[in-house]
Amino acid sequence: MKRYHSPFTIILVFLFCIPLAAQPKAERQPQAPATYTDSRGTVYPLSAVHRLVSLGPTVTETICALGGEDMLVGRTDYCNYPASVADIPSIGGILNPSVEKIIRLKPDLVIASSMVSDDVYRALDKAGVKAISINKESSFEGTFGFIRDVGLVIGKKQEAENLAASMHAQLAAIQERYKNKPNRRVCFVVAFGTYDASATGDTYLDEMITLAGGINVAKDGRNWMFSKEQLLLANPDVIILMGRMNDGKSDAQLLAEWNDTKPYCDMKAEVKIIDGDLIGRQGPRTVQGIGELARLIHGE
Amino acid sequence: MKKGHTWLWLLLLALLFVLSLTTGSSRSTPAEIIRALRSPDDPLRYIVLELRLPRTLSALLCGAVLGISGAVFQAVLKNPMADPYVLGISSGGSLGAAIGACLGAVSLTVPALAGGLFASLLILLLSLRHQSQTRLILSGVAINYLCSSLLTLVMLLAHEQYQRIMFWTLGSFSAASYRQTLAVLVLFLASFLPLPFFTNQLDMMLLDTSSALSLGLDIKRFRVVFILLPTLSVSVCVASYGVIGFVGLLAPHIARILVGPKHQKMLPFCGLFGALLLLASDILCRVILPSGEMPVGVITALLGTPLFLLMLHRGRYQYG
Amino acid sequence: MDETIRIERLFGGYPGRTIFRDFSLSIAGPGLFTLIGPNGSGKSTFLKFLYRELKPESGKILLLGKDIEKYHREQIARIVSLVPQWGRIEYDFTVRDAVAMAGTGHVEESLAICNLSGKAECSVMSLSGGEFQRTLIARALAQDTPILLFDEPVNNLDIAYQISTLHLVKSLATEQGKLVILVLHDLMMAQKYSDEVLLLDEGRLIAQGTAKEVITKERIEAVYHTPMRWDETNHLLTPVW
Repeated sequence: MKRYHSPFTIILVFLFCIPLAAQPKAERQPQAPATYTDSRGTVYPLSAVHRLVSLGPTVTETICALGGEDMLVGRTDYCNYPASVADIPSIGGILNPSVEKIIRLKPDLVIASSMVSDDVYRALDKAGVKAISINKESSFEGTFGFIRDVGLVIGKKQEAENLAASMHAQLAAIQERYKNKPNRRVCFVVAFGTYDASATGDTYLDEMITLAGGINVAKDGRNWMFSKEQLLLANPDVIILMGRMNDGKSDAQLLAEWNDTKPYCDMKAEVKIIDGDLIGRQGPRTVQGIGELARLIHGE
Repeated sequence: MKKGHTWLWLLLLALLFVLSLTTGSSRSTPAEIIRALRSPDDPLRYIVLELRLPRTLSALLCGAVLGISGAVFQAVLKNPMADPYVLGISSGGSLGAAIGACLGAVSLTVPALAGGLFASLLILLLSLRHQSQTRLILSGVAINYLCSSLLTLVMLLAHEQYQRIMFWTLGSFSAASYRQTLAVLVLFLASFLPLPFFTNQLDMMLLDTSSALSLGLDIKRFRVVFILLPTLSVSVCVASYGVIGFVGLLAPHIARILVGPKHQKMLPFCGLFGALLLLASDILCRVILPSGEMPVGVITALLGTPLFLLMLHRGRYQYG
Repeated sequence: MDETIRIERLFGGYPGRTIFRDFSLSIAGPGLFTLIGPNGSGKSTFLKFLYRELKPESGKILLLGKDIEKYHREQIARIVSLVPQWGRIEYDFTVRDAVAMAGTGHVEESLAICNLSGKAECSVMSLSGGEFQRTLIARALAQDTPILLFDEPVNNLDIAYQISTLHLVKSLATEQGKLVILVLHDLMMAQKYSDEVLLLDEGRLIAQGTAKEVITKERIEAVYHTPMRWDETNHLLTPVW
């Protein structure tokens, strides 16, 4: 699944998503076994799964949220939630997982994100390991599609419906809570300094900001490009920085860097840091992320 | 080029300066700028003084450094295709910056400087004993390839830093500060103040070896000194603003087309044209995208190349 | 010392190829001294030692009585100047700029002596072979040195330019009192213009003296392995065609 730790990655993903936006759901034919067509067009006949390998953090989180953690026998280095998956062996990175390790775990199914290269699928296919890619449009609704599809293929369809329903309810509660709060002007800055990038109107994060009750000052921007001048002129009330971006910086370091660099240090906005994993993963914690975002935007 | 034309170019420089101060995410008139400068709370005042003015000064200075260094390198290496990066400053600097980024450096300036200087010194040492410029260039080519490959390796291994490094390698003045500009200015003066006294020797470097030696030029010593001096200021430029290509290659050729190859006349114009080209590119890179900025290195190539081809075509430029 | 140039027991040549072994000679100026010999005899190489393009492995070179190693390069350039064989200028400097590279104030006089005053503002790349050669000569003249070296200056010139160049070179020796060393292939020219001739072969000085003394039938035939005959009409030793 998509990982929102780099805008370029997101652009890449977005481009992949466009032709796949209209995803056919699993076809139901009374005579033939039920199948699921994944985002690469592979037709996968649904069957019982007991051993799963996940090739992405969002996949891992979703499987665990649906109660399938005991089915998970392999995960990537980046899969870090819930904490208990640390006990599950890792099969490498997202871009270059170790095919050997995957094969040795003898999984019934490998579920991947869009970042996995075709070579990996080919190698797994040659070894007789079933691998599918579940990839949804980069939007809030797309998240539910993702959860439902994962639930379908791992035999947790009802749990997926329940989770989706609870997430909707949770979101409603959040929106109710902040209904009467004044709309605050927000900019979600994902990179600053040598190179500036913020969540522009064409990004997933833009939707999150709106759902969290904020006004995205970078809405008119495109492609994550938002210059220092644009930021200064927009003069947002709140600036959200993406924390824990896997580059080893702690939140305190990130904040210190912001406060040490012109022109950011001269801005009047409140600067808050949100966990990149929370807001960046299009999965079960998305609404939790929206809640956290809302809390940071509105200050309570 | 007639004497009067110098004033035209300087006028163009002044115009570009004003344009640079009025251009950014929003266009303003000079009157609006002056009004903003008078009111301390106006965000436009901050933008002009803290963003646009430093980057304008940096672009001008950097352009002058690259233009003059390009000319010196082309003379010392007797090669019209030489630019300030042919002896490792950019590839070594990029590699240094990449390694610095991976080690968690907040500012890529110091690691880039170290990388650039190290690569340049290595290349000089490798070819110190020989009279031949070809040897020097070939060593440079080899080290450049080595550093580029290592850079690719680093970027693959640490792909979270990928776009930060990539943007750095394309060059940008968006983070320009007065402090950096001052550092570049100091090195510019240190490296280039001796130059006016050695323009005849630079001319001599373009001759065959026997002629140059018999005219009294100590080729080997001159080459070392006049590679090291520009290397210092170019390294600081690259370390501060990234790798900005084409300016160092084009400015000397444009200067030669307009005022001839004699360095006494041509070097100041190299600085002038370098400054013009880079400032124009920087202005463009702020406005060319509907949102955000393009790296300035992309624009210098797009802007400079047709300009150069046009001049080559029109002029009676004789070059080898 | 009236010896302008003195070579003592020179060993040297190019890396990997020693040309001179225990080579000694002395030249006292002024005058026109031609250096002749077959290809590979070391004529051009010899010149390279005189302005320190090449360094001897052992032995001494003395210019105006002083060891060449003790001079700075700029000082040598005030004593010896060179008109090189391959002196291409690949940039469009003007003739005046090219001559001005000598770094002294004698530019205009040198241009005048070489008949280049009218062409002073032309680009060197637009010159004919002869005009370019004269530019190189003017540059060497502008250095205003007591010793001038000419490395095969008339090879690629037409007959008119050849004669005018040689006249100019001769006048430098006789009228300006310079010591001119002229490397030549053409034995006829050597006989006609020289004050002294030095015959080299395989890095050895075979003979030094007036043209009549040095250019004899036996010697030339031995060194060049070509039959020669005495042309009575022109008083010249010529090859048997």
